[in-house]
Amino acid sequence: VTEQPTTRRDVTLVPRVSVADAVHDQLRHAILSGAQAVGTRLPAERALAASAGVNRQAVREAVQRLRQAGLVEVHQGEGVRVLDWRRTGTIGLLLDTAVRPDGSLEPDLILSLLQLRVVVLVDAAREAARHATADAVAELEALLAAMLAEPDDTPVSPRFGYWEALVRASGNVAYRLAFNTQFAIARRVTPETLAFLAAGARLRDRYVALTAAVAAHDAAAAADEARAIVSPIVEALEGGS
Amino acid sequence: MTEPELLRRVARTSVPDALYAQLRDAIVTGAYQPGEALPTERELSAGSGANRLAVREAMQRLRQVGLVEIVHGGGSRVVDWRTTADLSVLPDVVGANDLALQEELTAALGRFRLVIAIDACTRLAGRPLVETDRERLRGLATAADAAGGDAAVQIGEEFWDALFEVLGSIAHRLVNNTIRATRLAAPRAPTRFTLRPGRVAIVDAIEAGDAAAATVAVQRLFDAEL
Repeated sequence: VTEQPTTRRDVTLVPRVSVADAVHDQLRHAILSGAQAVGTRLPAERALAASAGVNRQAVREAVQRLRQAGLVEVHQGEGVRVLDWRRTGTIGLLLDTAVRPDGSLEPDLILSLLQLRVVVLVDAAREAARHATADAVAELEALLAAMLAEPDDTPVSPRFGYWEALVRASGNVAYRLAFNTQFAIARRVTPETLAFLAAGARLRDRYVALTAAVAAHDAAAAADEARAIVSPIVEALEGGS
Repeated sequence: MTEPELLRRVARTSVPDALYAQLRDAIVTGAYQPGEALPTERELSAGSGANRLAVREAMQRLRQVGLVEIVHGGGSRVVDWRTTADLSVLPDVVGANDLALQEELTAALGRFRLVIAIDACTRLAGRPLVETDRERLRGLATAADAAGGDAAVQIGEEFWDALFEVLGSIAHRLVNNTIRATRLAAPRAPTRFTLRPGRVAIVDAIEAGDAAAATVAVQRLFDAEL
């Protein structure tokens, strides 16, 4: 294998993908902001390609992504219709709307996401207590041991590794996918905000009790301990709003 | 009276759609494992008889859904979608020709809807509802309980959408959208989504401000417990 072909392929591939991304981002913004109203049709592929100065393949890719996210409906021969994203969209839309480009938050959307997080993680703990294998329990215990070995002045972290293992132990693939989105959103916020939102992660005794409840297959106790860790921040924000 | 048409419209699957479906099935059934490289665009084109543009479109869709990633140099590698993908992958994945996977997803989403429904109903029971919201929820609950067959599915979905809208939590609503879309895309009637009546009992409990009764009513409707 020589260097030459690889380089040539890179050069053609990268700009083409980012052109489709750019078209997608513009269209998505127009739809989420309401500039392109619900029920209207997007201009024809040819017209969109011409106005963006890109090829039709890039437009087609962008429209496919909008369809995937539940923002538009595509009918062969009838064009592309804008849907009401609140009725048809997927949770991934919050990835780009809940966190502003500077890392600060849209308060209503973040509260809504945190409320959902409580529901998912509490039931994941409950189901993990019911279904966790010996290997899954051992993994949680190892993660807990690492957590307890940290010096007291270690900056607070959201314990993603621990929660990821717990959600995996629940055996519910939909919870895993919802967790993936929450994780992706958390990676976009500033460290200070993340530390604030993850305040419950300071409660190491609760993690000890949660791990013990999962190991003992005590579903009710596991749910209670998970709730004690993840719900105080939601109650604080609800009280403040 | 109009003349009968000589030909009826032929249902068409576009070439990129067909390619996408084949590759998606190969990935979610494990014929290609996470970390494994997919054949190149050229190889796929030669193997399928499709042109390169169609192959590229199918590959882009796989990437968008979160089943593959583009690696340095332009090839594609299968990713472990359970670890990396968003919920939006589910309406596509449920269409794969894999009965065990369909049942797993149906159970997982049934559980997800149970917990978001209980969360929504208990929180709605703790606050006063405006008259228009109450009437809307009661109207849809009554209609859904009285309906049968496909209409029950349709109105039942409208009821949940309205309930999460009244709750005002966009994250719940977007998750519910994926549950609905996956349910409607599933090739066979999912067994864990019930068509039983019982939504009026939920609205009764919410209006009475009785969170415990709302939880019981939701569990009864879903024939499942927390």
